This record gives sequence, structure tokens and C-alpha cells, in this order.
Amino acid sequence: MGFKEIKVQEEVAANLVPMIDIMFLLLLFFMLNADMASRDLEDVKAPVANKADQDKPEENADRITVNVHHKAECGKFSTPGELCSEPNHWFISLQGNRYALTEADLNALTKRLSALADAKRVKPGDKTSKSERFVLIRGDQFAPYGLIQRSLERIAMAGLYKTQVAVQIEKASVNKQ
Amino acid sequence: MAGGGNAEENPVGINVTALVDIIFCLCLFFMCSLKFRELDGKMDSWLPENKGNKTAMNMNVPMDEIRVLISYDKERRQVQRMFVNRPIVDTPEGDALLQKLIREQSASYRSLGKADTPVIVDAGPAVPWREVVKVMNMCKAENVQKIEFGMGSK
Repeated sequence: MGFKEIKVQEEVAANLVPMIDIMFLLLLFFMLNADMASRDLEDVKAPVANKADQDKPEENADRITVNVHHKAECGKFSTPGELCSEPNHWFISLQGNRYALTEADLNALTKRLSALADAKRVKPGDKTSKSERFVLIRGDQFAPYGLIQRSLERIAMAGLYKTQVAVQIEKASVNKQ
Repeated sequence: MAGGGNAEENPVGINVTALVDIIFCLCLFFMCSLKFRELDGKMDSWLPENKGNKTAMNMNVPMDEIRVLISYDKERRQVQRMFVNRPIVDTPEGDALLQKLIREQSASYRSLGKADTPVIVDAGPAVPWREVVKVMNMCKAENVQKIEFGMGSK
């Protein structure tokens, strides 16, 4: 007696749940990182220096970053050595917010800086006391010092005095010495 | 590998190539967008603690400071520097001279036990930021402990 071979069709389904979990986690991680990067750091070409300290952002996790940067569309600026002194073409940025060089905007900047400084006041709750929080100034290499000075003035008015200047380290020069 | 185990028992393989492709593309995209986060270096500096208010200077009190003045001639596009009434040209030789003067001045303050005497970089409003940083870089090279920004000239 012959037996007939019966083909059993099994339904096979791959468990995609862990994969989707991991993919979502990866996406979330990268998206958050990218978002933070764009909020804090504007596109700035910092001045070159060869004696700067290597920056370790993890050491200053609560550091405030102030950017002084230029409007990208200005043709003057793209010419090497040509400085753009048009005040409307320059901005001070803090946490993704741009402040123009008007009194109203600068007052808003001071207010925001003061609020950020509150986290580490020497006398907590006293707005007039100094703050121990660091401020990183990321100025474009062609930015007129007057603009940096105005942002420094506002930083000082907010009670912040510990500042750091962002630079690009000239690696070739370091190796020579 | 996904669908691992004995191939004879479960001869079904999942093609994960497309998935890997997509993950690599996503990683590449986000890694490229992250490059702006890198920051090379930093220099510590200090703001005067008068909160930005301009106060009258008492000229009778001897000041312990090393002040470098920088101005910018817009027409000639030339940077001019002054170190204690001594003009210093913006050339590599001028840079070397300025650095030497900073070294000598800070050494003399150090010998008087005033190692924390600040170097104050006092620049005009039109001076390019990189010129200010260049002087700060010289100060760092000479181990100046305190670099401050002048807030007076506008």
C-alpha cells in the first residue's frame, strides 16, 4: 500500500518587532542629536589658533553657546578678506533663536541669558549676583569685534563672566612646534 | 543571523539586505548632519566683573594690566596694533615682536609676584574677530593666565 505524501504548508512569519524597536531607537537617537546640534551651533567658521585647549563638551554640559554669525546670502562675505560691516547681515544666536542688532532684540537676548544664568547664581534667587555658568562664544572669523563686544556686554549684563572662545585648532602648526 | 537555527528544520531565510541598506543610509544621513557638532578648540577668557557698565577710570591708582590695543583701517584694510604706546605692524615680524613684548611684560609681572596680571585685548569695533583671537593665541603661547576683553572702546 502506498502512502501519499502530504505537503504541509507552514505559515512563516518573521518577528519584526525587535527590529522595528531598534530602528526607532536609532532614529530617535540621531534625530535628537541632530536637533540639538542645529539648535545650539550655527554655521560659523571660527578663527584659527594653534594654542587652544581641546574642547571637551562633556566637561561643560551646562555651557551656554552664543553664536555671532553672518547672513549666508551676502555676496561680499564670500570674498576672502572682505568684511561685511552691514549691521543687518549679522546676527547673535542663542539656542536656535536669532537676535538682530536692535535694542529690542538685544534686550530680549539679555533676558534670555539672565534666565539661563539663574541656574548657577552665586546667591541663588538673586538676579544681581554673578553666575558660575560658562558661555562659549562662537564668533565668525570675519565678524567685526563690535558685534562680539555687544554680545559680551549682554553676557556681562546677565551676570555671566566665565567665557570661552571657540576656535579651530591649526593642527599643522601644533605639530611643527 | 535572522532565521538562524538548523536549516533542515526551518528552511526559511529572511532577506535582510534591504533592511541593512536602509539602516546604513539612515546612519550615513544622520552622521553627515552631525558633523557640525564637532568643535575643535576653546580658549578661556574672563569678562570684567563690572557687568558691562562703563565706570570712570581712576587714573591715580596704578593698574596691573597688560593692554593690547587693536584698530582696523577700513580703507586700507589694515590692522594696527599698539602695545604700551608702541605701534606694531600686522606682519609676521610684527606678530613675533608683539609676542616677545607680551612675554617680557608678563615675565616682569611674574617676577613681582603678580602672575595673574591680565592681558586685556582692547579692540575697535571694526577689527575682524580673527585678529583678536590671534592676540589671544599669543597670550596662550606665553602662558598668560588671564585674558580679558576690553569693554571700553566702541
